[in-house]
Amino acid sequence: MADIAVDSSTRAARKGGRFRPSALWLTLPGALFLVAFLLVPSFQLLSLSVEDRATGAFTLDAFIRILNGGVYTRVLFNTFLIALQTTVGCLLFGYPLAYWLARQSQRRQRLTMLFVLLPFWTSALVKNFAWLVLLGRNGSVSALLAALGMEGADSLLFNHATVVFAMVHTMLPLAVVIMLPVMNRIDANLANAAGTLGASRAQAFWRIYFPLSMPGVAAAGVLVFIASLGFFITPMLLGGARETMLGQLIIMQINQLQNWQLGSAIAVMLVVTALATCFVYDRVFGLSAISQGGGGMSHGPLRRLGHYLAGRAGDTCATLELLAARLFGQGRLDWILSTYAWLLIALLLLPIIALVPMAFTDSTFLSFPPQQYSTRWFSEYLNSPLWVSATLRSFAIGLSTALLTVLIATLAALGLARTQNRLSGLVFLLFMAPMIVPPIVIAIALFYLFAKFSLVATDLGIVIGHTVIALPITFVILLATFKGHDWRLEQAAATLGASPWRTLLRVTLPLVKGGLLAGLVTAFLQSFEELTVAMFIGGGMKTTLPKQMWDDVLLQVSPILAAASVVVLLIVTTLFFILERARPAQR
Amino acid sequence: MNDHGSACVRDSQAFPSRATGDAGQSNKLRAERLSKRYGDFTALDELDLEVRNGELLTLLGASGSGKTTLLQVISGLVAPSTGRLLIDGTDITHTPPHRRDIGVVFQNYALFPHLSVAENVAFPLQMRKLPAAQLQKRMRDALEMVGLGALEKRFPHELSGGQQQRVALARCFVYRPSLILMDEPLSALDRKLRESMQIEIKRLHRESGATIVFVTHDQEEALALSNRIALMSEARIVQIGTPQAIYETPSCSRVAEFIGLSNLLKGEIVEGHRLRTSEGTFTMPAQASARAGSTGALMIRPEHMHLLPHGQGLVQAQVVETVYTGADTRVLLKTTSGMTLTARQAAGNRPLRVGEPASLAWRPDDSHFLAD
Repeated sequence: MADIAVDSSTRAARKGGRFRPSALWLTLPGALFLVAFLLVPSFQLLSLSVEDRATGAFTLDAFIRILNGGVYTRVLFNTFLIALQTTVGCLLFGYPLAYWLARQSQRRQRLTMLFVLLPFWTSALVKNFAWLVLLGRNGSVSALLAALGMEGADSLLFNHATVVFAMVHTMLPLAVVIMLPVMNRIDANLANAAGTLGASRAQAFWRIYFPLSMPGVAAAGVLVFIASLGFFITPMLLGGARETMLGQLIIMQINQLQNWQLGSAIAVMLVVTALATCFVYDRVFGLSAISQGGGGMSHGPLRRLGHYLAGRAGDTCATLELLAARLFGQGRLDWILSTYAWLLIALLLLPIIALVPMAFTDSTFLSFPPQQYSTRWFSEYLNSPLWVSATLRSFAIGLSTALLTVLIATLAALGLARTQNRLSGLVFLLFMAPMIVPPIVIAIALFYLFAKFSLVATDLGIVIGHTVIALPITFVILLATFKGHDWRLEQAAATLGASPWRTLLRVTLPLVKGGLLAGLVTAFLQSFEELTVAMFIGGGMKTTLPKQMWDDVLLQVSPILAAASVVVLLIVTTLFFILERARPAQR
Repeated sequence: MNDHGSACVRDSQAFPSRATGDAGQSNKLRAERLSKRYGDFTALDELDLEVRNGELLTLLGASGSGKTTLLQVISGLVAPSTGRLLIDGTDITHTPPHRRDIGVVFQNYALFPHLSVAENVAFPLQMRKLPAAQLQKRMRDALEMVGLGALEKRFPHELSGGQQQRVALARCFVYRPSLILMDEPLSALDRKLRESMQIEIKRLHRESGATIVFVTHDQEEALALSNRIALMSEARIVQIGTPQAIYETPSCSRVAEFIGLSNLLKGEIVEGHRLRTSEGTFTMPAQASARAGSTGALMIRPEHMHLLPHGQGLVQAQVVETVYTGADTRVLLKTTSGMTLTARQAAGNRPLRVGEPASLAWRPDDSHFLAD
């Protein structure tokens, strides 16, 4: 029946003789936007990096300087090391949490996911700022560790381990959010089948569940690694000189030294590494795994190795399982897993919750917990024209970004959801591209481009930059919405006598409005918490709230920052709950 | 209806144990007072069941009748609230699935998507740590058996529904479990494929000699496949017996209505071994034993209803609809008192028109009496 309906409609369209442009044309505005504000400026950076500053001649000087074994090489190595450690940490600690979440009933999962999504949507700046206070010399963690008699409890900050810890803490929700949908798609019956075929629980996990969850693990690994590469907030706030990362070098070269050649060269290296990571990922798993799931299977040696390792792990764990069952009895492992998950969730929420009492301190310096409570820093915040105007500007920019992003993304998602074209894959990649290019690279590329059009230090410039960054996630949300939409309903409405306009208003919009609202809120949140673009393009005059907070944190850590953070948290949490309500029920 | 139900459950509950209770050793599987409760909901209600060695038994019932829960309890994927489960006389109520040595064919096949056809079929052998050479041979044999030898390198998503089904069967038969459970394995296939797979399953059953418990909601499938059918309703087994017994001598009107089409004439028994109904008073089948004054219903299958010219038969009626099925024509008639009865008219007879008057007759021994 369904086939007949679809078939006859396409045939009618073809027979009509009227030129019917492919829906793929709807992706054109977005494609042009990304070419103009992502691809062109990125290639400009590339050419800047190989251009002599004085003569304009071709030179690889900048790259040689980075790779010659000096301080830049050390930073390069350090950046890769921290990014790699962060990635491994996120996967190692995030996997059991995602696994635990995936095994819960749909209703419970949605509730517990709130605790992971809240830190996900809380800006890195706020979380790292909270750690700065909590782990500080007079912080409560130091006091606790000192009381336990640990050595070095008063120097928790400014070392490698703390930077990696805080980065894992920052990125872990991202890893879980990416791994979970893949795990949710694994048919629970497969584990049952493995059981009846003679596999113990450990065997079933390692031989069946684990390989099937690998696409999600790999996707999470790639995205966390890329995000970590260009990260500068954590090393700048919590790290010492030895924890300097490439992102910080870029900021220094561009903002302080105006050395575009070297700055661009570092940016190029970041992008090349990110692309190389994606390439390896594509070779092994296929990029389609991100969008469709499943993907192509091969008989390659890598696959055989993977299966061999999973098999050995299965055998080993089956033996351990037998031993554990004999020692502790059955069912003990479930208890361990959920305890672990709740502890991890508590750790994820800790800095966010700790901020609230910090903001209500009465003293002039930050401490947790504060000696006396008052609202003086909130009145200070509200009476400061600087903070109030930054907040208002962030709101206006966020709103404009949300509208622009959703407009572009809706058209593109509509176009892609309704066509099966050879170009579809390419278009999808283009819209995902801002996720692969670290935000700091997008920011300086746009900075250079906008300088020519005097868009630097304008609200429009920031909105364009934020739109580039917010596009991928918004696009994915809307693509899922439109792919899940049953387009035969529009055919049904037409046969029932509704005009296209009335069909849109009465049938299509009511069904997709949840997705549209989710897209709007997501784009707004991305913009509202974005720091990097605002830092470069905003200049000194057009301060957004995150930029104002960043300047303040570098200047002096005062309780007004905590108050501002609480305001941000309040707004984000409110929007986050709107987002949760808007999200269409899981299919 | 509910009174009817519990009455007929009580009637036939003793049936299985009476029939096979003393033949202890010939039982493959034995369920004793199995119950499963989810909160207030009872999925299995003190159910007894015996499955004989080497038979193909279908659990037939509407959705929600408890048949899938029973299968899950037998496979060990769900633990019963109370009761015992024995395989070959050994209590396995608390044995985990992977140590029960049973095979399960799942509704949606549950093929491992990341493993090739060959790897899927080899999986249970790997779990049993078979030497490589033997493993390869057994795996190839199993694939040959279902006619998929050429496709062993493919992945499940590259196969058609019927081929996936064959892989699932091969994966189950390859390690020669003595008890195989099948959970509506053919429900995702179209009618034609389903019929050819039924023949395939009968062949595999015969060749392997395995005991098979087959769950279905499709009565035709149950009639076509089974040595015995256990009819389930409201968390209990209502009747168990051969397909012929279930079809021809249902234990109560609920069973009669579930299996095949049937005409039920309700009434009270009067002197002379006759039943008085709203359509008239009819002779009872000779073997029916019932006291005068008790109530019940006569069941007459449509194929036993003879269509006669108006005025000649036992019940006078008017044709209200005819349904042509190829082999025969189903004729719906309305009696003068307003009751609808169904008859089958074999091909070759004069087609009846809607509105035409006709009458119906049957031989008393073709009818079956169902006591209330």
